Amino acid sequence: MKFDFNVIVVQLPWLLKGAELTLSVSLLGIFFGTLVGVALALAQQSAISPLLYFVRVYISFIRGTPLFIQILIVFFILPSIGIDISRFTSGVVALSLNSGAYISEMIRGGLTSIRRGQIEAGRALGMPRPLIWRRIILPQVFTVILPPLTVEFASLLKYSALLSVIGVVELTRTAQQIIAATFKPIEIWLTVGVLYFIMCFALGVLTRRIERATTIYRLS
Amino acid sequence: MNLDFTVFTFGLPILLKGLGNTILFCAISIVCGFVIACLIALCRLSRRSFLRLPALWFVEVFRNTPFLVQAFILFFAFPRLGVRIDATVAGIMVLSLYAGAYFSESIRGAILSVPKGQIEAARALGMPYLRAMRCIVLPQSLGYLLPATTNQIIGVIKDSAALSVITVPELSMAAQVVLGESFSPVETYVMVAILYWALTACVAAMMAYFERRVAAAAVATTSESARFATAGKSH
Amino acid sequence: MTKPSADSDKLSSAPMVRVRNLHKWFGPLHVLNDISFDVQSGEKICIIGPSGSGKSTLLRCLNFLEEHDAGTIWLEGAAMGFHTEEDGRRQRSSESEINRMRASIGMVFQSFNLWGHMTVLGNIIEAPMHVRGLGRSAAEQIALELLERMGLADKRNAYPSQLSGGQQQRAAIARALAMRPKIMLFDEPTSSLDPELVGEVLEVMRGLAEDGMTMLVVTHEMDFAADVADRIIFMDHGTILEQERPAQFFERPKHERATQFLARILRRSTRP
Repeated sequence: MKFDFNVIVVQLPWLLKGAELTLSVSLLGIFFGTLVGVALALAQQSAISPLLYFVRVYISFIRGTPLFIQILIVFFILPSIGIDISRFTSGVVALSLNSGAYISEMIRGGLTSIRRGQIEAGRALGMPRPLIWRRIILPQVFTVILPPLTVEFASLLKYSALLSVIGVVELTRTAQQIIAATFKPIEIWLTVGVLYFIMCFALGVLTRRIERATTIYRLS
Repeated sequence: MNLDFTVFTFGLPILLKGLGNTILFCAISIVCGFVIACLIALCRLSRRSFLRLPALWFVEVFRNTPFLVQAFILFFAFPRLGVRIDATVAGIMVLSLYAGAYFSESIRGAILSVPKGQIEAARALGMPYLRAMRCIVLPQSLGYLLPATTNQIIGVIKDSAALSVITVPELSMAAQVVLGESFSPVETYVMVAILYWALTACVAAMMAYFERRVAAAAVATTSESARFATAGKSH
Repeated sequence: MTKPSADSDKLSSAPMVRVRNLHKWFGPLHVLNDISFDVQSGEKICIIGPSGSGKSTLLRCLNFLEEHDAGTIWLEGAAMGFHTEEDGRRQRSSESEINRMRASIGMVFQSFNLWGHMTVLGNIIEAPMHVRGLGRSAAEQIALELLERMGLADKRNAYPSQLSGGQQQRAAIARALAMRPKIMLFDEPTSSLDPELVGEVLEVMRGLAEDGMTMLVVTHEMDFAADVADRIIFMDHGTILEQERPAQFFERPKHERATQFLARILRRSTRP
């Protein structure tokens, strides 16, 4: 058994291009996922019961089914209702819809973590409701959800590998193409593993930094 | 959008067989995963760094890489080493290791959340470390453990879908078989999603039942020991 | 005392606060039962009584954090929360009207309620800037003066999580004072503090009292009440049982329940 280092060196630029796509699809996923999450969280604050029911069913579906299947459903369902978009976009949609459900739970948790007294202090000072939302509630919700949001981003980086099955040429798909040409699966997959590890580990370090930085804003 | 409902009738038996396999493979992986997780957790809590550090690296590797890539590595490693291995066996192996890494974090967290005084009291009474762990700490950690692992077990079931890519004959792979005959991807995958949804819902309900039983047992034993403690004071 | 007529919500008479026939229910529980009293400008009132007597609820009704179900509250002659229309109907005041009145009432809470994501200075200048429309430098000037008075000048850029309970409460008092209120409401301001930190907050409150602020204080600190209050209001089960000068209340209470309450308090404080 010989380990071929040379093929890694030769293919690395391609792999890095794939990694770049992994990063961009994940970034778009977390961005749109946050929008979806905010929308879902707002919907849950409303009193319209069909809307509340829909949101609860939606979140239950996302949390109870594999992302693998969700990606395939999004990929096949969009053309059948006449929406013609690229594989990349379809992948971003699937990732956003998935993340959105989890992020909405984070936002709801963040909202409940703000103690009533803080809002009452604002009211007692004569602050109108929109001002209380803008200056007291939202900034604190943001600092509370920043660490779990970075964790979700790391999760997206890993799950973006599943987009290879719909042909998005991110890191995993690039690796499959290289292996088909070079027949060196172990060398390539191990390198790919290292690349994912570096990205996710770096994000983990960032998460811990953010956690430490935001503890000062949290009252006991 | 045209929905072809005939695929339901002929596809369902194939999918149900795949579901059966998914349940079997996940069950084996979860059990093996737990055993692995207990070992890893104990190593991580050990003072000896030759145990602690490799365990830490193991967890970090499995938590910072995609499961799909882990599956590919294991799937291709064996033939390279000259061992012929079945896709299913490789799949269950990698799923067990993956599950073990995540479960070990829950177990470690649960053990750490048992108040330090408990094990100190046991050691003060002369109990050896492992017995103290087994009889005092582990039972108490169950109350903290169950909620955390419910989500992770459901995560293992969902992540197992990726095994279809290395041709393990579970539910997602069965979907491919159905698709080969029917050309109705939306209907097929929606059916598959509903089957997974039903499975995770059942698992969640089962775990909730166990959580209630453990909580009730905890109440019973505390009132029991309270009665025992105060019995000596009455005269 | 003559009842004010229904068609004159704006009175020209002197009391800073006038409460008439106030009722409030929490479900079946009659938490405030026909409460009536006046507070003159510059008066210091201490409201005391057993837990569940409705003391905090009464205070919170005064700035409409709780909505009263019946009766009227006038602050400086203007009706708070609900006003009576020409045809005699009870009508909820607008949000902006309520907020306008709240701006001239200061409230200090038992759990301080400082905003964790802002510095001490940020907490204090927030309302003057965004409610009164003051510019940043004007607001900061007021804030720094107040911080000097509270002895917290060096903590102006600290975050609430970095302060002790006593410091947080003093900062909260400064935040309330920054709006230049006419009345200060204190809802058990020292009940959440460690014993050794209670003194520094009571000092600040004494200073405020000496400067002539109208104050309503719900408290369990009997020494403070005996020293500082012009009048003690004793409440039990939602009604005012006694209203008199502290000397009279502590030595010769009129009601049985007041005597019982004082006996329990004194027994606790004289235990060796």
